[in-house]
Amino acid sequence: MSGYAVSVRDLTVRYGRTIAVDNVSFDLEPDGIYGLLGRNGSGKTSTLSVLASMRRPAAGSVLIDGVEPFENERIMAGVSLIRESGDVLTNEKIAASLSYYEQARPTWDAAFADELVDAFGLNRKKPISTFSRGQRSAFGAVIGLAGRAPLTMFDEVYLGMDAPSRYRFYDLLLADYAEHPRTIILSSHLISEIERLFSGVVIIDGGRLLLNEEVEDFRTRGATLTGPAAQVDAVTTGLRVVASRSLGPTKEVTVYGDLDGAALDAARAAGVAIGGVGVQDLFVHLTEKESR
Amino acid sequence: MFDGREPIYIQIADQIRGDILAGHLAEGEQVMSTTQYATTYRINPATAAKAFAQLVDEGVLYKQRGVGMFVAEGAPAQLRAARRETFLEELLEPVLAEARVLGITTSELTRWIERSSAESDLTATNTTTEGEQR
Amino acid sequence: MTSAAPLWARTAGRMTRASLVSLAWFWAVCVIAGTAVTLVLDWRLGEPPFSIMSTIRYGGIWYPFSVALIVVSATINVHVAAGLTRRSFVIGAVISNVVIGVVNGVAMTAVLVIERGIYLDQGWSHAATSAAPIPEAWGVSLVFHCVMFLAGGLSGLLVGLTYYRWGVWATAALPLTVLPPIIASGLDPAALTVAVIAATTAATAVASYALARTIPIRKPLEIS
Repeated sequence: MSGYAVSVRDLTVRYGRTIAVDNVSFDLEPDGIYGLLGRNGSGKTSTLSVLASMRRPAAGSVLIDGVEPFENERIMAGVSLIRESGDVLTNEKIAASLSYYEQARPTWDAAFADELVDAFGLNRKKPISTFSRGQRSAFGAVIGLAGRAPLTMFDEVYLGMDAPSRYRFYDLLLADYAEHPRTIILSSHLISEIERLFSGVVIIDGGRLLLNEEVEDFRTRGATLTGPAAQVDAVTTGLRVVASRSLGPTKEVTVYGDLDGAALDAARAAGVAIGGVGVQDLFVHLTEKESR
Repeated sequence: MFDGREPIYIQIADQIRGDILAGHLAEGEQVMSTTQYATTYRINPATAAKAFAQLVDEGVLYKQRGVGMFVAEGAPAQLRAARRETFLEELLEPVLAEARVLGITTSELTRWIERSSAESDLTATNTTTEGEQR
Repeated sequence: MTSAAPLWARTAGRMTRASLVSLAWFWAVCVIAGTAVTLVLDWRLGEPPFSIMSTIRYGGIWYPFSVALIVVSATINVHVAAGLTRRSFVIGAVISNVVIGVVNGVAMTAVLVIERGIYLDQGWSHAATSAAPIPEAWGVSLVFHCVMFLAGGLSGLLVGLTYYRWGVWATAALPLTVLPPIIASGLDPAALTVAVIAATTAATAVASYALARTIPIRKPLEIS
């Protein structure tokens, strides 16, 4: 089984009078690893909740594999959202939750789940309520990976883990994804460690869609231009400047947009150094600007 | 690693080309699989696959179904020839242009190049003799 | 793995199996305690003043009530997060509560029939308190107790769902949501009473279904 395509159409999610997601639309091709980026409270979790049939949209719709997922047995069985707080049987040992998920998910791999429990060094003999935040996150990772759902989403799951566990998670995810391709969405505001895993990024800010692009396009549109202030200003006029700082006579400017080759050659000739910008940096710059 | 502005798959392809030129990867030697490459460097497997596909298209690597990918016979020579061309055009030309702007004469440049080559030859001989002494 | 069975049937099966274990303990404890009380009263008063076992009915109503309530708040998020529908959850829960209600009704009737035999054998009168009447015919007793216990379990399910959906505001709906077991625990086993309890219980099941189909799944409470 391969991954599901995702289509979000004019999605609006409300909590009482608060609008969490405001008219957001984007499409994701099957079998990619996508980053859903946004600052805290930007509407990431609400968007994922609708995809996972945890709640219904106030307006608009989502289509998974071409079908509205809410209360659809086939689609829901193939969609998995791992929330940081963990949807598990808290007062019991992990075996109880594992068996619940095993009987529910047709794609579940019990042997893989066992391997993962060992890989993360989780205690099988104690109830989950005694676990630390990091251990709970790791158990969430186990459930998300072993489920092998055609649409698997992790909502900030790795934030609670310590660095070794996080890297273990990335490696296990990547190795398993290579063997069993599926559509994966990782949501976070901290992505520098994993930005090269993404095939595409969706950025939402203040409940609105800021950007939905292939990651290579996204990266190549950003650049840092460093050099004498006058020259830098000359080459960046007319470009979308997302960040700028001066270091005496030297200026460093981060731009975002279509950069044409001729302009870049001219900049180089004028003694301006051109460097890359990480997805994390671009994301921070873009959301800083837009939220004002 | 892979911090440049170019798409990552181009940087990966460049890195493999570099490894072949430097002799870290010999002719006929098997290269890492896409999956191994992706997990080792924590990059998207599709990105790694794109880099490998480009190298296969160029004839630098060849695919053996079910076994893996290998460095093509003659790949180092082919890469060296291609690099020589780009070296002169893309690296040396701007240097010469800059030299012209600064008023550095051709004879000054030649003297510099000769001295620097002599130094690097000397260090090369030294390392070999040291190596032989051990 | 009975993966061919529909989701609601599998859900009902799992919920019922989980409840039956705790129910076995419930009956063991009740019967042992009831027997002890009977023996003490026999020893102190020479004769128990009324059917001791008939008082188990309150536990039979409110114990399944609280279990059903807890099952909603502790497992509906896991159920949906595991990719199962709310429909299968609520149908499974209703069926499971019906099965549990019937099992409890049968157990209650059996215990009373046995107790009645012992009382009559001892020459005691198997009377009931005015608050806890006992039908003499075991068939009537069976229907009466089944409906009574069903009312408790299903009401627990509905109360659990209203609190899951509306939080503290669900308290306003309590007079309605706990109506069936309140009626059931107070009235005598006339045919009309049984009919009223059965009707309100059925309404509870329908309300639970309507409420659950669109219920938003909250973030589980952070415990750390």
